[in-house]
Amino acid sequence: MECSKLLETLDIFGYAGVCVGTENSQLLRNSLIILQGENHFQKCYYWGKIYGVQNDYHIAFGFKKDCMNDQMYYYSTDGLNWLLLPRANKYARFLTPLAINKFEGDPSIVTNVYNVNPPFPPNEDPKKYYDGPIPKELKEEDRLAATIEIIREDAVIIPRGAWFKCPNGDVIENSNFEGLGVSDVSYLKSYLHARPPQQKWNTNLLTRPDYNYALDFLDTIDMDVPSGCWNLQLLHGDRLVILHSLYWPGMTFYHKLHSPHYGFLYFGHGKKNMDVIFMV
Amino acid sequence: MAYSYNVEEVPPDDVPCVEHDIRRAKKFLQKHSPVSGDSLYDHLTEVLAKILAERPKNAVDIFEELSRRAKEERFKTKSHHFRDVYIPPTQSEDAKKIIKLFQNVQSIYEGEGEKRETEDEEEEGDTRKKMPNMLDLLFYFEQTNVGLPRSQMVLLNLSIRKLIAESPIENVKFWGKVLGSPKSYYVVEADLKPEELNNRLERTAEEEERKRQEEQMRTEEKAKVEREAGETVEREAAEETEEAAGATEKKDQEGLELVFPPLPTHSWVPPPEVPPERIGTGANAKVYFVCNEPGLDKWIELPPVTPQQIVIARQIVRYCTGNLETPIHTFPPFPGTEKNYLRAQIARISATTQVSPIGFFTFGAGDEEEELMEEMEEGGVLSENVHYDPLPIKDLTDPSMSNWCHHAPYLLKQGRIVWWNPSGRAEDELEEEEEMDEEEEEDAKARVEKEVGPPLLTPLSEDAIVDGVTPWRALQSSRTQPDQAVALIRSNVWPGAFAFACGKCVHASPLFNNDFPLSRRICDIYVADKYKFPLGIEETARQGTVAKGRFYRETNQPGK
Repeated sequence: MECSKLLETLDIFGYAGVCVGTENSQLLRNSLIILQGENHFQKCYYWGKIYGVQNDYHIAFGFKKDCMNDQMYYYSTDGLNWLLLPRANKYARFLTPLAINKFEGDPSIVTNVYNVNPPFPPNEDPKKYYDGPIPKELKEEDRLAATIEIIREDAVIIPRGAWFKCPNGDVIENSNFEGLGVSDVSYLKSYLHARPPQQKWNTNLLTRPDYNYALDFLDTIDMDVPSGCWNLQLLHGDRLVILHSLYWPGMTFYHKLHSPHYGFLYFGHGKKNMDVIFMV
Repeated sequence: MAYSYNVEEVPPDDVPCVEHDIRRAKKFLQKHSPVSGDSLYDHLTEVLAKILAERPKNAVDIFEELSRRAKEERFKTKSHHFRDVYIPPTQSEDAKKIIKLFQNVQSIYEGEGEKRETEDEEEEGDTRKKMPNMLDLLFYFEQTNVGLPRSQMVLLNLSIRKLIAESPIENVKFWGKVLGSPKSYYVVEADLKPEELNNRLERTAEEEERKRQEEQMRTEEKAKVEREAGETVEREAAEETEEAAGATEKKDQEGLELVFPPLPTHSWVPPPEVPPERIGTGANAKVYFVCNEPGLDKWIELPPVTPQQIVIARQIVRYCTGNLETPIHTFPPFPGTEKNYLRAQIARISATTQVSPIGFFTFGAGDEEEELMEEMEEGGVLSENVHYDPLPIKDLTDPSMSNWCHHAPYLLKQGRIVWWNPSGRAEDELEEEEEMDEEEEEDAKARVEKEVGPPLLTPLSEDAIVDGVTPWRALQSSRTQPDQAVALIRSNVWPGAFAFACGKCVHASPLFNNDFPLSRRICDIYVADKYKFPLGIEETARQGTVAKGRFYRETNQPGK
């Protein structure tokens, strides 16, 4: 969610049971504006919060030019001092889904994730499944980075038309976006994954009759498995749409109809809910 | 002589002529497309006129968009034949309902106001206190980053008032919200009024009596049928044995004897069914009302919960749909529909997450210590401590959590709050026996071990840590202004369960919930998504406390 809009969270995310309190929103807003200035970001967003045992992590991101590929993430435990979040490496991506403990709240802590929850059959050679030396220790900072990347791939979405792909390949925010209408808003295919597309370039174009090369370059969320993994609710007399990801409880996306206002916040423990298939 | 300049004159091809080129280009642009009937010339004029009139920023970047929109508008006006048909705003139905609600509540209040004037002032204070004030709650929760939608809270307040006026209930409290897909539930908790409670008990007693009689009739009939069947079987068997005797004789003669092992019989007996607790006691002490949209929907009362439902609900995960009649297809099979499931989860959540600062609740009004002890043993009635002295924020947010305690009774593994002895003897008898003969009592214990939960008002510090998850986390709303901060505690087991304390204002119950543990709950209200519930973690979490809790109780008496 844009850092300047944080004061509105109560009326939007209240439906999901979270908000950013008045004092906190002022604190975050101003510290993020400073962060934006220091990094020459075009826009700076508050991403959400990951709950820890001792401390919570506030996460923010911004971009300079390309709103999809240039995102830079920052984290903070107090909302005042922001630290650059490293890119998730291969080891962290491998180990993070194995971690069953909660985030501790101290980024420098190192835990042995592998031995607590070994992923491979015990009587077989793990080399068969994993190339190279198997990592076992995971630093919490890396885990945070990997978790955020995985959440971004799974659960961060935008309404169709909010991002625009320029002919030179840059992805920019569409300043002409006027919001979804009543006829589109209740269909999952009007929402796109805000990540580099994973399907072939023409798959997403072919799924709709009114395709547009500049808008339909991302994957739609109606292809996600299982089909009930997004919870779409029209609220406030059909003027607000809220989408919850059931895979990542705590991930809430909102969009005000007929307006360019949209965004998301994540407030949760940073753990994927693997029971979704049995719950819908 | 000079030059005769005739525009119409066609110049030779090799001489460049600006005017002629312009004319040619214009002609080309003005050509009408046979498909849409438009010409590019008109279109460009329109778009450029629009750009000049509206003056958008960076027009060149969005030129395609502008052009597309101009075409769209042209198309729209052409196809717009039904201008005279007025379509009312979609929300007008809802708006009518809400206005009706406002009028209703107003008339209730006016009626009550007249009555009140005749009543004592004290009583007035009492009834007013019972009305939940959602906006007050909103104020405190907002500071602690727990959200309640502001517009809904006003409607919720009104519809709770209407509910109180219409139903025989008292002590109404907003319990929380359970997030579901596609609809969520708002949940309100209440006590039945004594008269209504008696009525219901009588009714259930009558029903039970009728059922028992029917069953008796049925068993008698069955017995009769069986007896008859048995007689015929016996007769046949007798005949068979005669035949068999004849056969064996034959076999003996042939010298062949086949010995078969007896057919296996199963020795499994289904465990006795645990009877549900009476309305007004144990897990059914409170009644719960739910609705999808406060102000628009009617409050629907949830049915009482049975121990079987609680036991099964611990083993399954399910996302609520917002429709109370949805069947639940799970393994193990759940006895009932979504309303029973919701009720079972509410019972589980309430038992685990209703917490308050130590000293906020005390046992009864007993002055003498002995009485107090006795009441505690029996899990006596809690009442708000009039002399509650607000704890400083530093103590309330202490990570050891020793300054917060549970004020809801523990839900046993059996699915009841009061233990039921499956061996069929009432507890009173057991106790008598205890006095009579200790040895015998030991025997009884060896047979069925009595389940005991931790006593009421056990501090949270005694909750067990399961799977490396510390069950609670204490937070402070503001680090910069600690003198004005609100203390919040958050459940890690049932994400979405919160409780706050700020001076004398304490909200002690769950709030927003996902209906699964590790889901979200809103305070004295439980705000959570109804995703799934933890698989019995919370019960285990509280179980570790039994032994320690007793010790604690003896050493630190709360509310003394």
